[in-house]
Amino acid sequence: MIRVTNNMVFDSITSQLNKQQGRLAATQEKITTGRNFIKPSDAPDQVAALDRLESSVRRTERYVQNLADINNKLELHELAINAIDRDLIRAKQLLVQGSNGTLDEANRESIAIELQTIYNNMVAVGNWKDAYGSYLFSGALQDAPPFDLVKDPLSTGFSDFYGGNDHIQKIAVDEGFHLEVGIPGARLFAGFESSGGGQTDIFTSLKKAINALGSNDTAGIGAAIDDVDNALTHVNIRLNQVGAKMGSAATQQSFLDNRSKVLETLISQIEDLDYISAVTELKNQTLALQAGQSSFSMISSLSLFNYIK
Amino acid sequence: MADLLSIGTSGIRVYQRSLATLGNNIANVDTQGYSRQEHETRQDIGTSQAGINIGLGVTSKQVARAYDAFATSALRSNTSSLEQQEALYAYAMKLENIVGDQSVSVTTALDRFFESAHELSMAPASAGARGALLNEATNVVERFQSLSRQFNRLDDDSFIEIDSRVNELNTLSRQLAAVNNSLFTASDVDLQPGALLDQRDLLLQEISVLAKIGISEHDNGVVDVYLGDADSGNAIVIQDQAKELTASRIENAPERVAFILDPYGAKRTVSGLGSGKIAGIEDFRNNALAQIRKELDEIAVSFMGAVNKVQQSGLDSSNDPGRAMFGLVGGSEGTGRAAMDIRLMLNGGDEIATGAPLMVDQHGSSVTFNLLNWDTPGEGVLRNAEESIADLWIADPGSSASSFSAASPPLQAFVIEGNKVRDLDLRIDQGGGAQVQVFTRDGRHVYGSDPDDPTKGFDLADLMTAGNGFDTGVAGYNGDYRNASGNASYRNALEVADLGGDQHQLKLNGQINDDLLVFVTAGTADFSGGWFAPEEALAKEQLLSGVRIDFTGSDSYKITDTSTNTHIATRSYAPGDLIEVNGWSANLQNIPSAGDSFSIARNTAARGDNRNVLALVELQADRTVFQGRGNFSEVYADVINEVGSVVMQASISRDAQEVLTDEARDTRDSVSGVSLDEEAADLLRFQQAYQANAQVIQAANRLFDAILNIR
Repeated sequence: MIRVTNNMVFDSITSQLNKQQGRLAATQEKITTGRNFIKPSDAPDQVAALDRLESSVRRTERYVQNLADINNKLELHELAINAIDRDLIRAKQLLVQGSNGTLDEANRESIAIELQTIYNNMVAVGNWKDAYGSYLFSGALQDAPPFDLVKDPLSTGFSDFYGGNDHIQKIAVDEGFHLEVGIPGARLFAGFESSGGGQTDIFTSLKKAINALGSNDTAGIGAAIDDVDNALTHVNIRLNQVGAKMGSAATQQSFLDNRSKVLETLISQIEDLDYISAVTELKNQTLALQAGQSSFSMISSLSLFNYIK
Repeated sequence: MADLLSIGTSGIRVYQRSLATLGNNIANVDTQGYSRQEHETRQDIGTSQAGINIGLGVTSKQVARAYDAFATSALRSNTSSLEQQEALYAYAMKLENIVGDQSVSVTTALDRFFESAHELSMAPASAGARGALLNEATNVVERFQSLSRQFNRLDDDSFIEIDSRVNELNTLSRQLAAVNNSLFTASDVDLQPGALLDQRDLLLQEISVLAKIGISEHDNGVVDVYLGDADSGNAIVIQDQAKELTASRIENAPERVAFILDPYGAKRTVSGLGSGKIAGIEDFRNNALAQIRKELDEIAVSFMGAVNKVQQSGLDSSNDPGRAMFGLVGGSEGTGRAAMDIRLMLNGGDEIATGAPLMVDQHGSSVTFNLLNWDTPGEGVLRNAEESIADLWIADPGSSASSFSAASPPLQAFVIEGNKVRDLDLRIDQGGGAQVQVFTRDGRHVYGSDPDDPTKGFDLADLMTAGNGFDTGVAGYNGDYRNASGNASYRNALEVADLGGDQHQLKLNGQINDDLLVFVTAGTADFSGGWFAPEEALAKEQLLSGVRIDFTGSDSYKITDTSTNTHIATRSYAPGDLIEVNGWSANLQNIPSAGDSFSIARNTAARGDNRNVLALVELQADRTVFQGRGNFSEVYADVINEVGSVVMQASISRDAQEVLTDEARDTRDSVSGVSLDEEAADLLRFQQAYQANAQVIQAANRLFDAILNIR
């Protein structure tokens, strides 16, 4: 039979009570944080899985943010094209009015002035900037506005008149997946058939119209009406393309939303505490600690000396 | 003669001693290292008288010390193991607190860096977005450094603890040597005072907290102490001599600690302390700390390398090739720790290479031209049935040869694909009166015989056909460059040499992107040769030179060098083909039509171009940058988990060892400890015996009185 000495009794009881206290504190911490583990060492593999998932969530959130920015840009494109569309419709009305042979010079003059205003508007829209201060329609050339009122497209030709380049900005909306969001000015304002054959652009067409009105050139006015018609068709195609991009963005958005949900569910499964079992555990541990404490006071008061009188 | 009085007196005396021993036990119930003592008695044997023998009472035999050498030694070795795990656990927890702390986490800094890169990809021309990315890059650098500094502190702290624990060990060794010295006086351990032996055992126990020790005990209780096992030879105490132990860092192996025993005497190198607190700290340094530091350094290096590679493959806002974003300081400033030495090398946001090196102008073409990779020189594309020089000779010039014979009408022997990256060395053996002609596709005659020479062996009209690879329509005969004799710039790249005998050499030193068509127009010629290795700097320049691609139909295109406006090649096209020129490659979305045209030239609008930023952004999720172990945040998560595993392992081992140590302590206490209940019982026993002996004395007195009272 093993001899039980006083040190053995006291040491073992205090160490047991300490351990019990530690376990209780750990369970309590789990309950107050609502997490299954606090430190990596609580469950290294689970924490690893969690880190990876959280990193995926952060990247997904970033792509969602990018999509919001893309939508802002696309909305600006839409606004710009609508403005161009309105101006072109007004230009066509004016030209039809101007083609009336009974119109006197003063009337034609005033129509030409309004067309010039439309031309100026067009330059202004072409130089619009996005929320970041970048020119919407200049490709990657951001040092100067892509269109310049001082330049004359009739004398320079469109390629020198346009101060941007042919670059289309792409934005990442997922790993290895980019959406094209830019429209170079050369593609928005130019690239449609001229009534006289060959390719032309809105600025050249409007300048020609203004000149034709100024010289009362009915054939020229007629050609300008055709060109403006072609321009209207062209910008409407571009508008449809913007709409299609918005559609792609929305699809990607819902895809990312779904992925976020799946990831959040996975994270919650790993990380979130099962309160019922944790609280049960806490109760059991509390009970065990109380039992340990009361038995300690019982055992420690046991001494033969108490009975020696 | 048996004398009742002296018997009683002997009992009184002995039980006084027993009570004193017992009192001492009770007094020392809580004294560390105290071993219970027991007053052993024996009876005094008297002399025989009248054939009977009556004892003479009781006498002290010895005060024995309750001691079990095996239990004590087991406790020592278990204590060493426990202390080792405790120390490892305590330090690993500190490491876990450092790497697991979100506020200093490398992942957070990297995530923010890439967030910022995303922002920059929205607005590459924005000075604010460029500055923000640089700020985040600085943050990443600081995060690496701050972690590294915390590791340094842990390194210092743990070394200082080792050093002070070693000093503690030395002090204990000296104390033990002094105790040994006191033990010399007696010849046998049983004759030694219990207190002295308790002191000896307590010192041994304290030493075993610090290091695993082996003991060799002499008869008189003097102990020799060795680090590790008793036969290790690494003595720290020999009789009354203590040997000093020292700890020092090892150069070039920063976490390692060298232990030298008796550095000023018989110097010995101790390879490790086995177990105990010092060994636990050593474990932590050699394994956990060294490993984690190495990983952090590797993460820093691969992050730096990956970002620099992207940065260097793009153009900055001045349209110049991007410079490395991060670098490592060396020399006196360098510590050899990448995470500590990493520095931001860019001076301003304008130096961020946001732009790709090339820009494409689609000229309103009906199909979209996608530049794929702009930094890997690709293979040329040959038309069907064309034999490429690359298929003929890849090895060193002169290592192999192929033979071609003249045909009538002349047939193209093979094609040397235009290659702007590599130089060509072509050897021709013209034995047997062979004649060799080399043309570009647009009819420039670069090597061969004068077409007016009657012995030329070919007719130009027969030779320059579409079937032979010429661009009919564009091509017209041009003899200006022939045999490097003309004055056109093209010839500067050509070198023609007569190597003696029938050996001739045609060298292209200027990296020409024209395809060369080779004909044997008379006899049989053997060709050998090869490409020189590409020159990197040159390759980069060539890559950036401008070309225009014009589709002449849906199945063929012409390549024009826009700097010289010369037509360099015509190639066939089938849907899905890669278009490869100058080291870059591209593909087309949808089927092209005649008139589609694309200009590819050095990007001159890099400031507003975000393509290189998109490449930077891709790094965040790139699982190839870190030896396939995962992307940056995953690898860093692995580091955290490695630390977590170390802590968990240490905690499990510690808990297991704690049980063993508790058992060993119980075993030792069960032998040597004081039980108050036992002492209480003994107290009553000895008290009663004492009182009974007093009664014996009183009885002897009464007996004596009875004799005196006889009258």
